[in-house]
Amino acid sequence: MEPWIAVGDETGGWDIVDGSFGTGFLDFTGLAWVLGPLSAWERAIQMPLGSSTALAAFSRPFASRLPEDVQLPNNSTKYHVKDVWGYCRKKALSLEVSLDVPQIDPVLELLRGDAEWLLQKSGLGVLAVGGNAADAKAAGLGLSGDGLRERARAFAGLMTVAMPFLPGDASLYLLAEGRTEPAIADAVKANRFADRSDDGMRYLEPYRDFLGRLTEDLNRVAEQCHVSVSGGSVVDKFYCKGGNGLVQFISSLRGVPFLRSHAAESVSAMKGIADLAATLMRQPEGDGCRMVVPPSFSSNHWAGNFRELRHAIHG
Amino acid sequence: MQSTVDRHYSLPVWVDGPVDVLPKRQLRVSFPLPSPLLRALGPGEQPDNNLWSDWLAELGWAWTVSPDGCAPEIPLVNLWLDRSAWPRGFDARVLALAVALKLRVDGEPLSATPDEIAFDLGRVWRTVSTLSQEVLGEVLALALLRADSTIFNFDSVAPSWPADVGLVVAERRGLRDEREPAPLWLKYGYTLLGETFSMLRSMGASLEDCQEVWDTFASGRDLPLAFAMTFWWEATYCLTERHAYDAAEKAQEKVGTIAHRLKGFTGLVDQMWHHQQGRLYYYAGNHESALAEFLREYKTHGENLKVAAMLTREISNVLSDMACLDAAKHFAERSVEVARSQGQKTELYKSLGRLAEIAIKLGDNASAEKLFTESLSIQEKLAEENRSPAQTLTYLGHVAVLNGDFDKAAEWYGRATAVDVDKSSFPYITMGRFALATATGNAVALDQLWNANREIIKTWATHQTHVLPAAVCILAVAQHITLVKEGLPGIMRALVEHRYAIEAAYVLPDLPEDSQSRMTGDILAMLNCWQKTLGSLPSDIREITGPLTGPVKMVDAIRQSALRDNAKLWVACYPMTLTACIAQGAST
Repeated sequence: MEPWIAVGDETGGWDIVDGSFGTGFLDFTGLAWVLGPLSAWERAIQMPLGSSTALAAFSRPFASRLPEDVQLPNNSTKYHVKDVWGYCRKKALSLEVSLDVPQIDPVLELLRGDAEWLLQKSGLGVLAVGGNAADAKAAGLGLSGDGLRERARAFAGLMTVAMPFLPGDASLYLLAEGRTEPAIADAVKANRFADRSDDGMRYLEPYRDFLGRLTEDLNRVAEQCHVSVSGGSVVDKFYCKGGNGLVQFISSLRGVPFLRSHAAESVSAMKGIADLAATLMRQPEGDGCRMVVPPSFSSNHWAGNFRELRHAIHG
Repeated sequence: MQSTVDRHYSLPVWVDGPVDVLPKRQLRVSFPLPSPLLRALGPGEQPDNNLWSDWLAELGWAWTVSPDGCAPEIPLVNLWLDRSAWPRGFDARVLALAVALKLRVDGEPLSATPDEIAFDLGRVWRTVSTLSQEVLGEVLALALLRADSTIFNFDSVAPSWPADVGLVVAERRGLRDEREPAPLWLKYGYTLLGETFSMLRSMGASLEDCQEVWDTFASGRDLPLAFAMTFWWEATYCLTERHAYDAAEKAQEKVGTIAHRLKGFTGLVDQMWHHQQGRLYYYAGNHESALAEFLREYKTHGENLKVAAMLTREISNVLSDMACLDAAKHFAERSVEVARSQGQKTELYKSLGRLAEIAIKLGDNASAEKLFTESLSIQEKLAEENRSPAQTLTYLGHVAVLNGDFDKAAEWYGRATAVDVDKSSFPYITMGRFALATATGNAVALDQLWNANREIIKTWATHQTHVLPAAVCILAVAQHITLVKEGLPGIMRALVEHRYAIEAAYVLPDLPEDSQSRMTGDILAMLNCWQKTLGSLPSDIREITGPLTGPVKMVDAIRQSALRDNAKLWVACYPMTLTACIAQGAST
């Protein structure tokens, strides 16, 4: 059976500081999976996108495809939608970027084009979930006091949406990387540095633990799924990997020559695609710009609120 | 009474994945099956605008639950189900009702097993949503007359209905308190079980009588088939009690026709409606078919205490006639036990009588007398129901004859005659009197009895059950009247034709040689056929019955011409053994 690959990314405030969760930027927290069978990824990554290819577009900084006269205030070293939001804030743009409406602004139009490609042409599925602090709390998020733990739980909960539909005999390879957290995150203080004060810096989470937690939570929701959906098999082989691990895996594959020969670049592109996917959900209105996916725009997009997944997340 | 959910059923439901890249899949979704589903419509209560609610309201019923009460409960399942894609007008309550009623989809009843349905939601809903009001009415009426408390909340309108149905239909006693509840068919149900059944039981001696009672009840009422089926089921019973077997067969044909039609709608039409067919087979001497009918019913209702006593007694009857006396005793004891524990007095006196007769066939006359005496005592207490104990008084006479207590026997037969108002026990009393006269060596009395009854005895020879007392009478007289002895092959043939193999075997030594071998062949063939039937019973039934070797033992004894020398087999030939008392006490 063909393996499936799911690539995840998150958005908003996942830090837990002084017991407060989900109260970061715009009081919004969310995450997304982009998933498909290996062959779908092989096709998607080679597709043309504007004057480039998906591989090139998503494996490089967003700004790399902008006209020379258009500058972004922040220029990440990878595809990062956050760079576009910084651009909007600098230009005091406050608007909804509806994916079915071409944008005058070249930056927003480029972003819209990328999202349009992902949701309508790529052949990949996008699952996204998010909400404000109240939504997160209602779904049982934040209870552990550890942002890493909650993110793993939420990622697994979101995968529940897809769980019964994944071929039961498939293997699911997941790329979901650790992130940074402030020096005074509750989990850091509780476990290692009780006397730390805020130095304004962010540090990497304990990386391997995140993958372990995610694997454990995926198995938990798979078991729930198995119990709920009597009869028929449910996927139960989960391989959670960081970027390097996924590169190694893809490099060892047969039948996907393009991915194999561009393994590292492809994994970078996958991360870029997941970064974009994490913005494709209903977000609160704020001072900046946000993308809006019109109803029926894509049959490969599911976006919900944390509350809808409370039984999967909390269970 | 609140609606509760103790049962679930699972149904394959086609569901689209949340995104196109995930393929459509059939999920097996667990739906709750609340019980009860329907309650009586309250006074002045108006149904909602839902089509199904309106239909139910016309019949006087309303839902006990909201649609959510029948929707899948598992939150994750709700996450996966896209309710907007469900069939138009979908109402989970209707689906639950269809499952509770075991409506048929493509010929197969829903919920063949408790929690699994083979059809997917789309196919089930297509069938259910196109159901006509007429069909819905038929299946609801059927459930109503079964007093199905999983569907109806009778507490809301007639709390005693389930007990009343058990009392009148299963125990066949009189309705104590006739009600007139608001839902129309429930009101008709009370009339049926009360006034109509009472009339049927007192008047139903022929098919025409029964038809008249039915016409009186049905006149001016638009009744579902279930009412007719229940009526004719009882009519069959009444007719067999009066030995009107041809009429009973016609009545049972009506039941069979209706049951067949209802089976097209629902899988709820169960073996109970074939119970009377089993009785008819039995009275026709077709023991194999009778046993098959009763055992089929036993598998579904053997644990139902309302009917278990009656059912096990019927099984015991057949096994007893097939000479499987240990198994027969087991079922009869079970019948007594259930009837006693449930306070089913009518059933208790019958099952005590059955157990007593088996005791005679096992040679235990003392137990038989004790059991018949208890049976008689119960019947005397139930005298207000016009039940004549003539039959039991007669049987007590037979026991007295077998015990050599001839004065007592005469007294029992005298008492029996006095109360045998409808003459239904007359053949058996007469049989006893022949045996008594023979046993006491009273040739004059025997002559008088023969001369007085010879014509009627000839008519008994063609009757399904009266052929047995006829045979006893003729055998008794044949001992000393040569002309009658010449008639032995004839009555013997009648016994064989009516499939009294064991009793006929007893007569074999008294036959002239020329007819003996042919009769022996017929009897052996019948016994071998019975043994084959018993040997092919399902293993679960055989575990209950224990060894069933009565026919083959008889075969061996007949082959060795040793039936009358084997005390154990000899007593099993009762009532033919009544005639043997002459050898012990008197000379004619």
